[in-house]
Amino acid sequence: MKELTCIRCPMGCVMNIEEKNGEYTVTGNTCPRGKEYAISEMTDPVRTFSVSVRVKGGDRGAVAVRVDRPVNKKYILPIAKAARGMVLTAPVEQGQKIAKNVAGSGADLITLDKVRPQ
Amino acid sequence: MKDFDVIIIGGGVIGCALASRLSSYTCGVAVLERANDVACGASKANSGIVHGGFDAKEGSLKAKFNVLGCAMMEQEAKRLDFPYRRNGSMVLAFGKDEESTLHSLYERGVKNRAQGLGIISGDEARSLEPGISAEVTAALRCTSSGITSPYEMAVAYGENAAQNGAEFYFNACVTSIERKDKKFVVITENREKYIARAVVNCAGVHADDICRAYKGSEKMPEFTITPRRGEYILMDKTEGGRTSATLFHTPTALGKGILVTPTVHGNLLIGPTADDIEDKESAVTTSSGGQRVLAGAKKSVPDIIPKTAITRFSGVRAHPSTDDFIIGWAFDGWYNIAGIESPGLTCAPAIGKEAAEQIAKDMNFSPKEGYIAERKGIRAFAAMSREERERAIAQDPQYGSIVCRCEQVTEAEIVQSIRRPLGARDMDGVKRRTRAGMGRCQSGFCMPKVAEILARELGRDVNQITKFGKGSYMTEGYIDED
Amino acid sequence: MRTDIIKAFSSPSDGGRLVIVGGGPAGLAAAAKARESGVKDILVLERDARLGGILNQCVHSGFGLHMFGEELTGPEYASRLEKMADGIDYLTNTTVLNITPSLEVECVSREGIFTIKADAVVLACGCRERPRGAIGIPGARCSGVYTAGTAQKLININGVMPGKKFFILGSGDIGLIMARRAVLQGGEVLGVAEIMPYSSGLKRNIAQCLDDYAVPLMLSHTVTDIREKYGRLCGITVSRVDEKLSPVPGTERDFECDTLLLSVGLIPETELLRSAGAELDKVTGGAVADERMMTSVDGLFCVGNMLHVHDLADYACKEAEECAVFAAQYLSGEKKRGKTVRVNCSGGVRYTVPQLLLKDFEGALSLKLRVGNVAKNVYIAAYADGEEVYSAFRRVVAPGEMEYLTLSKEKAEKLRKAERVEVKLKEKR
Repeated sequence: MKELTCIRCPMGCVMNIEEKNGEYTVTGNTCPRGKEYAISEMTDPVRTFSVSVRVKGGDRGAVAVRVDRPVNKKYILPIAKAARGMVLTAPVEQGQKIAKNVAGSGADLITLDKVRPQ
Repeated sequence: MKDFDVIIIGGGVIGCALASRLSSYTCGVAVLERANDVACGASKANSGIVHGGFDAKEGSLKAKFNVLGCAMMEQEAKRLDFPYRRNGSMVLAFGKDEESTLHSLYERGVKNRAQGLGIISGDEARSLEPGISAEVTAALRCTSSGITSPYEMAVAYGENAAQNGAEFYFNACVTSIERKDKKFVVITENREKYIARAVVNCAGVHADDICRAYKGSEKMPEFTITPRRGEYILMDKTEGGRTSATLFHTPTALGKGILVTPTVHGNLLIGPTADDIEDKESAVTTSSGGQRVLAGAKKSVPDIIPKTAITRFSGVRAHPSTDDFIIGWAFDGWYNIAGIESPGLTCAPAIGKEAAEQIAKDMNFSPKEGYIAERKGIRAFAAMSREERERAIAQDPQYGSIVCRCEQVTEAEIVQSIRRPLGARDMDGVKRRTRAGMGRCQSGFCMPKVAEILARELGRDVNQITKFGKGSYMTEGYIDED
Repeated sequence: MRTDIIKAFSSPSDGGRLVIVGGGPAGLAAAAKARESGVKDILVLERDARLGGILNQCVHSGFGLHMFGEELTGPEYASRLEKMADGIDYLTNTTVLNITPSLEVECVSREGIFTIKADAVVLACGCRERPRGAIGIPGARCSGVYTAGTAQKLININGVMPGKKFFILGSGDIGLIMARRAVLQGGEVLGVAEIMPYSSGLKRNIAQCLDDYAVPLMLSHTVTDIREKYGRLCGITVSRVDEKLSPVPGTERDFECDTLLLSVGLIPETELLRSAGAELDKVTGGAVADERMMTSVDGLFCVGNMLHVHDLADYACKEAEECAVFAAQYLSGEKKRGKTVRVNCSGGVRYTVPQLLLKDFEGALSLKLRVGNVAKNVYIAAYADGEEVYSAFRRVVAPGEMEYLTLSKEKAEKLRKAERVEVKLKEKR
């Protein structure tokens, strides 16, 4: 049995998950998303996250990007490192795809905001 | 190698006041300052009080210059445009023993020719200052005392000196002074050499070290400087009205106690502690210091709310082994102005004036033609009327762009603080000249913007911007640099 | 365009003008809802260069579940709100200097000083972070000490790193979020110290911001010294604290780091409330408000983190929307105050919002409150003249999590009609 804090929404339900013959029993969740999260944590723990990328020539020095789909935890640091190696030049549009299949994770990086040229 | 008539070692309020006065004569003046700006030692971290002059022992230099300085202050503040307000002070007595001390202070004050003294009852004191404790039994009132902004005063003197041709060298930490023929060769840590006919030692807490750094054979007066740390707590402007006068404790064998005072900018300031320390650079704050300051302040004004504190700071004062100021020629060409502890800020205008006059007379300097006696400070948006604001923005739209929201400091003021003679070169320099970052958020909101403006104006990369020079960098590089 | 707006709003209104101060989440939500509720003459004033407020720098996700039913990052959430408020007049780079009790709003921008006479004002200026001085951390006065929000701005907006090796004091959400941000930007985070025996942040943020990156959370610990080298922070000391929150000698641990981030609490902005003479609540630090979120000044409303600090931007937005409806009613109806009864808090309840109930108000009552300490198996109970009219069971309550109560029309009625209203915690029997 393992105790987990659900990260799917700000409620942060504390759940217990137990495995028996490949079947998972989840308790403590308030909604189905919690159960789904608990099982994924045991099988394929995934995260979505944002990283800031430097922008030159803009009215601000950075724009945040996020992965366009949840990725396995093991890709977080490699993706973050790849993003730190990038530099964009203004203008940057919101929702712009700046990298595909980043660090071999299968996910693309999408800008969250726009940056106007200075 | 630069050649001067007078080298002033130390750009605190004393060094700046002297430089300002000396620059009225036909002589070449240089100020060597180890920090990145003027007023970085005790001059930036003290009570900001213009003392009436009843505290110092009669006949002492402290007493003499205190009374002189106090009398000059209003005129100096007008001439050089730094803040000053005569808010009066009270020494509070708690019980019979302290009341008798009040009487001796009063008598000493009369002998020192301090102005506006009078002893009042506890009830009279409370009717003047409703915030003070019910335990107060009597008070020594002094209507001639006031408050100023110590670092703004130092900057004002410094700018006036620079305006009149005095040269300032920063990050110039003097390590040795040699005598060559009739001249002095002053050598700094970064191996720069400066030559002068005379050296004035205004090195504050390091004044004894500077004497020791002299390699000549002449005899120096014997004194040592003990670093004495004073911690303060600055409270929000919401608390500025807790007292209008400066409130002192009655001095006892244990010390001068903790004062409670409004500041010229409307905050409430409480402190200082007085702890003799080893390290002259140790301007840290401590948890016990903070507790003593709060307890002492609450003794005078019980309703002080600790959680309204916005910052704590400490200053290291130069306590001389002689217990009095050391002022005058040590030998031909070497002038000491050392051991300037409290009431040194009050004394600064008078010390600067008298020392400059003496040096000029003894070195045969004559008054300079075209000397500019007046200096105008940065016009603060926060202090302007609506009409003045409208005019200021029409002339310079940057006056319409508020950068520091707590203190309502505009981009125009920050830019000016950097471009002026003796302009700011770091975050603290901007803060002392404009108040950006002095407010209740303590630069949380405006820091990135101020750093950006500094970088732009100084033509530097933003990651080169420091809090106060040396390695006090604000940021460590761009996010793409791994 | 800007000058046209300034000119239009500098002229007298027809009695239905709403000025919203602050173009962050609460301000934008209020603007959109006010328009939907029939207000035509609306102006949003924002001091920053763009709308969106703090959302622009909150690049993490977790926003919008309650407002939009999906999880968004801060900038995406800001865009949604901006779209909702699209077409409403606004001025960025404009700071409000002063608001008079008769709702004259004095503004400054690069165009000059101008005054807008409003018929109602919604204040949505947000909050600020408590700085080092407010908690009096001893030690060197060097560079390298930042509030978490300032660090967030430096990294996410300015594109610069405040440091490389971090320690974080305070486990508020911004502190937790910044722990993860620092790691993802290539920094190292040595730990998070929290003076209380529990975190004030969301549980999920501890899981996804600390646990995922093996950042230790040290509960009942605080920073007791800061050391510097050449003016920059070079190390800190962390000590365990006792039940009175005093550091325990002998428990000191030194950490070598170059940056200390502070996430030690948020305080509502109060400058404009003070300028208008509105009554302030000593506990929330914000305004005292009635059920419409109107302050003690007629027509002056206050919402979001400026009223009291919320756990989520979504809740601040919801509050702003409720307020906008009331502001619209106020503008179209009789502009009178009505009699009120004050909610007294005791027995573990620190504050409620609203603080004042309206005697002649009708309908259900939503009450937000915070407790002073963690408590388990308790009822939150409301009393009208000593009689319990409402109670809600909670398995656990904590200061970090705001409690939301909804009282039915009948129960609310009893409270509103009472001489004395009390809200307190009650132990389970």
